[in-house]
Amino acid sequence: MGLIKPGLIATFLLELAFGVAIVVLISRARTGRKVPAIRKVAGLDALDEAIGRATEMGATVHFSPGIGDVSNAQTLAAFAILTHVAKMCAKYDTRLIQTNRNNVVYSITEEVVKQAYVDSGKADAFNPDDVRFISEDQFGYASGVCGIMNREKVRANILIGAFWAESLIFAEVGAQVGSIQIAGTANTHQIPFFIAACDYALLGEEIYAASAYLSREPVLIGCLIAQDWGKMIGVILILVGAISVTAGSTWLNTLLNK
Amino acid sequence: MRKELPLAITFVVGLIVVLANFLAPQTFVKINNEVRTWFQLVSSLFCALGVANLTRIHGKKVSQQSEGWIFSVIMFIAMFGFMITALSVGQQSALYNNLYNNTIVPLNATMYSILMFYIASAAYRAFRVRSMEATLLLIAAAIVMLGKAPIGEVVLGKWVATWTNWILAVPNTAGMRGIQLGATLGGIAMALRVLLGIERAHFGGVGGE
Amino acid sequence: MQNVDRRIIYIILIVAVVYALIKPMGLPVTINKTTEDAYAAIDALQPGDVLVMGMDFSAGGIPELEPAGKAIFYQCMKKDVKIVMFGMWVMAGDMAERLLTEMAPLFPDKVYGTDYINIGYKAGGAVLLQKAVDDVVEAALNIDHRGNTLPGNFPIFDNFKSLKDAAFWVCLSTGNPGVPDWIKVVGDPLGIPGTIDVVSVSIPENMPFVDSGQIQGIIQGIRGSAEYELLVSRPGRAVAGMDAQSLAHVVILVFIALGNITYLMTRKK
Repeated sequence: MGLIKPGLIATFLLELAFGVAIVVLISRARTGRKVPAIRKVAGLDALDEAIGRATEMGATVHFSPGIGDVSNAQTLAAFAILTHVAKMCAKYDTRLIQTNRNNVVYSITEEVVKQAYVDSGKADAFNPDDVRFISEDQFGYASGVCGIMNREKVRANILIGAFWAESLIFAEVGAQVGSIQIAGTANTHQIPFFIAACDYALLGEEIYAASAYLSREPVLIGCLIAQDWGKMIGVILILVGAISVTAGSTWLNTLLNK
Repeated sequence: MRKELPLAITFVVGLIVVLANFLAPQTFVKINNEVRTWFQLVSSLFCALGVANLTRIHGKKVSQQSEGWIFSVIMFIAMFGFMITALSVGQQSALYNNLYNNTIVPLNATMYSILMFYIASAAYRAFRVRSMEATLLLIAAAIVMLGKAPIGEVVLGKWVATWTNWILAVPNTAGMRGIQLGATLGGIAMALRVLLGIERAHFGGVGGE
Repeated sequence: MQNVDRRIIYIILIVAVVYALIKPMGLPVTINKTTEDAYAAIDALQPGDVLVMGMDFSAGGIPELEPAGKAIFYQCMKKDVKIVMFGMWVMAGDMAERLLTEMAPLFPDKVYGTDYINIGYKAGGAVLLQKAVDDVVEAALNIDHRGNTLPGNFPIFDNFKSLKDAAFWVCLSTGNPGVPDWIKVVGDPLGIPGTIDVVSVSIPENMPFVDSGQIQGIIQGIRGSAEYELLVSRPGRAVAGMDAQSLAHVVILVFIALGNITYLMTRKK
């Protein structure tokens, strides 16, 4: 029996190559070499605008990291944006209500928000009751959040993470109460709802670019470049594969299934 | 150590899980199984954390008789009522099933049904022929909506269903694949950043150094 | 007409849907190829084969998914195919019990634990599936949804020790964890064929899996459930809901059209 499970050799090598590319680009960024600029992402630029609007109105900002669990990469991406949002809210003394559907995620977001307040020098302003676990049930969570949006004068609604059916409920209720809404998810089936109902929508991998975009850390931008390289290689493989299969050859299929 | 220890644990455990998915030797598989079992146990434990959080927040509301405190009382009755019923008479008892089928099920279904109204109002607001792309979106949406409901074929003919299937199978699949490819690569990069300790937002730190 | 109060839209929708439910129009439902493919794949199973049913949905998914679940149960029991039900969602066991409460009495000769079993929900999400690939009973923490010790005296586990022993899988899903986990953990690595029954909103994102052959057909929301009910010759709630769906779609399209006509007229001015 070989070291790698049969059928996964090509996948392992491709993932290894991708990982090596990320590490190499991170090392390059660390040595201070110039990194390319990131294109404008309107949704991320609008975060400050949304929080500023809520501040002016004396209203509340609501943040939801989606309903995914902690092993979901989208939830991890949401933490990075939550850090930024929490710091902005701490800076402007704007109330932030952060809701959670998952217990494990709740325990992490409480720490994230608390740390953001501490880092902003506003440790006393942190209110643990504003980081809430609502319900493990999808629609229990949805109805809880709708209630909060109506009762707590939410005027900035930030929805970043893994969303499912409740996405449109959040977005429509947010629109009904007059919130400015920034939403982002990599769940392709919910993107259309966010585009239709929200002011700004982050599509797919734009949420993963958030930490690099908001912090402009060269190391993180290096990761983004590796992602783009990975996509280019993916496109090349798709084109080569499509052409060869059309020509009657399945060599690429066989190679990738090794 | 407060920062280094969680990062080290993340790296070691993450590496084990990743390698166990690829490597054939049984040692990795056995370690991975153990990690999975612990993950199951820890996930169950965190349910208690959620209950504690709800109790704290709503208990405060009730004790201070804040606005809407009566709903917090109802929440307590529902939460502890179900817990006590399930633990005392079991989830197979008639009492539990009656409670469940006559409260949770219709409430869940109701919330999901609200989507019908929200889709209607969102579509009415969003589907305007402001540009060429918006017009194409509107036409595609109209064809799929008519194709998915029997009335489309009855009134307009079989072509609606044919075009619906084509839209779902060809342009939709192409678009979905593209977004999924990008999102998956983004997810892998994110996971790698977490593994290497570059992304630390979940520890309360910023990403990067 | 550009800014109709949303409550008017809601009222007209309610009237249309209720009317269609009270006075069905009997619109014919044609069968989609993807539903036929799913039906044929399950129909190809042999007596004694085990079909694993992933009940990965909550009560919100009942109208769209449960009718197909019942139809699949009916089809399997008719063919003497055994069914093991469990799920990664909290309500998995309850959803399975609902299905069994209605469908099991139709087959008095079929026995719980021999021909079908409800393992229920176990914590861990996708980790549950990964563990079940190695050992179903261990993944189930040695207990089923009804509190019975597993494997106990249940003959269904005589030849079904892990998901590798399944002949087919069906994932009924409204979200995550769900279809991608079944494909990643069971379908692709083990080469076990399967199909999915998903809510309408999830159809576009799952079509690539149909196209690539990773799943055998797809039961598309309530329309797919209605088609499956017709395929097993047991029209039920899903078929009854088709007229309501038709009228609802027409109402929404009418409002979109009116909104656009007014918009274009205003723009012209």
